[in-house]
Amino acid sequence: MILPQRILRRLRAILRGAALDRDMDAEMAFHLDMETDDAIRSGVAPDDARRRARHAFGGVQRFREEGRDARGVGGARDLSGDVRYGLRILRRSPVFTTVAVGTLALGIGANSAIFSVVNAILLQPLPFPDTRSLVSVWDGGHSIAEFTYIRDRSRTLQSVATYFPNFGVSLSMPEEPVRLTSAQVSAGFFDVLRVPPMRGRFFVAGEDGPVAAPVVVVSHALWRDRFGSDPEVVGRLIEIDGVSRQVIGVAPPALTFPSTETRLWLPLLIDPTGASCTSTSPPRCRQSAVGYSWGAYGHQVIGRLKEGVTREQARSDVYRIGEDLQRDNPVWRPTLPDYLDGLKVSDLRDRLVNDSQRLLYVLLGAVGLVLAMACANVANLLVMRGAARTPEMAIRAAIGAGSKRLSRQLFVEHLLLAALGGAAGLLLATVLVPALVTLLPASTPRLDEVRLDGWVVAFTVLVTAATALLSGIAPARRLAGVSGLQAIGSSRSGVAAPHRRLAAVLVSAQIAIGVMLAIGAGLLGRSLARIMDVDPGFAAEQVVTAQVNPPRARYAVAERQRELVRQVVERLAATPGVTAAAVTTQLPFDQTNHGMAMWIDGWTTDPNKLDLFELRKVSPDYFRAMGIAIRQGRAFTDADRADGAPVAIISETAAKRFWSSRPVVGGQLRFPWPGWMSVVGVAADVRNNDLKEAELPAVYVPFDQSPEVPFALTVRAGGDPAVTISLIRSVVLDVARDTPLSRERTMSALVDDSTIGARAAAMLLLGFGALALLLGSIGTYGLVAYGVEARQREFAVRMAVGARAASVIRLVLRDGAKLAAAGVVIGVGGALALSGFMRGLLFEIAPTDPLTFMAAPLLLAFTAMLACLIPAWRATRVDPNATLRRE
Amino acid sequence: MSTVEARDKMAAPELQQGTLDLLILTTLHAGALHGWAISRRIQQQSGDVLRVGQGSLYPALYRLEERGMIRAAWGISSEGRKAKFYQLSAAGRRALAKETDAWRSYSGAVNLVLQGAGL
Repeated sequence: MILPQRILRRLRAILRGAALDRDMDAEMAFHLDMETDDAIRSGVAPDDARRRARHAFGGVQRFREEGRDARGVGGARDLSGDVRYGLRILRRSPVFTTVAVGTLALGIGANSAIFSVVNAILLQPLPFPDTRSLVSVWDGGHSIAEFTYIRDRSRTLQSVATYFPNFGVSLSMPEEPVRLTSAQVSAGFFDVLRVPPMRGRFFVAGEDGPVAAPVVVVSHALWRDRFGSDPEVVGRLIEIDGVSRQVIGVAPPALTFPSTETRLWLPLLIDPTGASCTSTSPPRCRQSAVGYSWGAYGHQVIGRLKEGVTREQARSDVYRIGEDLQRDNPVWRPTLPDYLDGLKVSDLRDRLVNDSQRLLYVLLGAVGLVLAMACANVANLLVMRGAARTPEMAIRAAIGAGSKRLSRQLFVEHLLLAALGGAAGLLLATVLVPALVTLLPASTPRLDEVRLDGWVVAFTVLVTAATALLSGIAPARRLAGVSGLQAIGSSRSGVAAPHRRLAAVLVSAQIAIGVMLAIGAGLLGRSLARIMDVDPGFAAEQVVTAQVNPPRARYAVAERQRELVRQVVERLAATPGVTAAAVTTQLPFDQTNHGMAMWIDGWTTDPNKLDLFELRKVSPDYFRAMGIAIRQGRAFTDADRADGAPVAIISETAAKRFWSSRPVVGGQLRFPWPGWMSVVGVAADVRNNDLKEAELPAVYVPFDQSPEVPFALTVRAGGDPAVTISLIRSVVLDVARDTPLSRERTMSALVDDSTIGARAAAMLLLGFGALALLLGSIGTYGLVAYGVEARQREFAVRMAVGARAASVIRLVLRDGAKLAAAGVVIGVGGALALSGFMRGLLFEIAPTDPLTFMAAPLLLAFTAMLACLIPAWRATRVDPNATLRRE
Repeated sequence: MSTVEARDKMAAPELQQGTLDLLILTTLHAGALHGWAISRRIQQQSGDVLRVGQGSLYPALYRLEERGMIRAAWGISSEGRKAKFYQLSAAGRRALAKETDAWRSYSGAVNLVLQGAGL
């Protein structure tokens, strides 16, 4: 018969199964009747004839099965039967089912959740066409000067653009001004990304030049939220930082590059004549109202490789340009010794997610271990239950079920378990994913793209299938291979030896995984503790901060900036409850850097090799407001005004490094342009953005002597921070109605924010470790408890001949100890092998930290022994009389 | 070894499956018959030597039907009762001719060997 027909027939047989069964029954009835009639005709009594016919016919039920098999519906019928039978079995043992499904759900759900993050951030391509040719040029931020070299001299890039991410601007709105995050981009930015505008147009060549009309591109989110999705928005004028700009286009919703907070794209100002600005020019060389400066760093460079060009070829191209830069040195930076090493060409996605990669992969690995543990646990449960079901299997085998059929039946049960676990896990993941997104640092790139999508569902299905295989096959095969005789023989002694061996291996594996996870959690926890122990150098308690963002164009005049600061600080300081109020142009832990090359009298000999300082322009009370100790000399006073002598305060690190053998107070230093400042004091070191970060020398100068906007307020005040924040808001609103505030936070919160990543990692791994501990204990308990059950008779005999309880307990504990020992040895070995992956995540803790490597296995071993105690105690309660009589 | 396999060996069918199929097809050569009549016919024509157990007959019938060798339809038996009748399909007829030839040459060959052994 040709195949389609056969399939059709089979399908019909399955679909019409019930009708065909009725058909078959009718045929059988007919056959029996004929047989009976025949017997009666030959002289047999009717009743006898019927009985004989039936006897000749054989088992009706068995016949039905065979008849169905012949009709070709056996497999499918069996399967649906298996599923129904499986569900019935699972329903009949709700505790087992709940524990197994719950265990799998935890394992699978955690994996799906972590995977949805890993997938969105690390695996999915960036939402741009042809992402393979999209590269990040150079590492870290660079200056416009360096960018123009790349743009004009590259032979391997078909297009290249630069952008300055996360540039805060004020947008004037009818009600009140708002602070927005913008990106300053060169004209070719959108061409490199190859994204078309949703409305209007993007920048064209020359729009980043000095004579271009002021324009702006708005994000989809801003268009929707602030302009009510106005279809007429293109062409409208909006005021940004005091400059009226024409909206030329709206970006599509998916375009959130360079960051999800980006609401506006402003053209950079790239002045070809800016090349005249050199390393000794003041920073205001070619500076525009949007803060442009030829030598300012922090610009990222992206590009498209030419057809057929490899990243390696592009890298040597860029390297060549780097050598040009070192020779010409338009800004001081190319003279840094490791300058050329930073000239990299990397895949843009890799570059963006670089920092998150290690953490995410470690989490994925850890959660994978949790799943392996869950599998082992469920496998163990199945083995245990399998032991209990041996008699059932033996009976089913004895009445004619084939071993293949039995193992399939068991496997269907496991598939059902896994499917239930997977479905519950997916449900769990819908809760876990949003939780995970809030747990991860907000600065994690592409966090907005994390969602539970088709990929995650596919992954979950795959993991569920793998789980069914891993946890189900071994127990199913073992159980189905049981022969009737074997089973009947062993039914009295409880758990057959092969079951126990397999279960022991599984429990040891669990303990091993538990040890590995506990070690990972211990390392991260200890690392976190070390981080928290770091003294940031200021007293964060009771300090409230806020970013003040005057529209730059309206506050371009220095005297206006001074006046704003003076008024705000004075009014705040005069408020009862406020201990001190001050401003700084760079707040510690606000996740920005304001590096400045400084010339040091008596130290610097080469004007092109200056040392980099963290620069903070502060009002006099800054040190008091922040609680930063002055180690030598004095803090700034109201006398350090614009018309006073130029002064500076340096950090201890700077003092040690540059004035080690000379008196520091009275020392001289200056910016790369002329104008010496006298050091009047030394302040305690302050961590800049991160407790883990190495100290950079810092220099403080009076705000009045080189004012700048925007700046941050720091207010030390007792009482509720919320009250202080609203006080700041009302004062600023009163003094400068056009100036929006942003990032109103307590200083403690800012410091806490910097450890979110470390805390998330430690917490997640701790959670996984705790889960592992729980699963491991359950596994150990279960195995030892069954062991005790099986050896009841032995214990009874021992007790009968006078063994004491203590020796029985010792006997049981020895079993547990063997399991634990094997698990611990394997676990420690595994953890050592994997320790390299942890290196980048740890702070001042070695990945092979001896304390952790001692404590974690001990904890696991101790817990395992604890789990053995209950069955051990039960072993001593065996009543020798009763037990032996039963035998 | 499992008990199932052991049982299967003991319960080996009296007729090999291929042989039973051939006998059924032969019986149907003359026309449509219902299951009981088929088993009766085989028993009679073999001089009461071959008894086809119902447990073998019906699975064989369904199998043949599944393979398209025979067709089944409900009809009225000579006793006036509703019964399921089986009849040869074109494919069945072709298979019957082929199988008959194969069987003849096979049994003839076996006979030759037996005669050669002087049995």
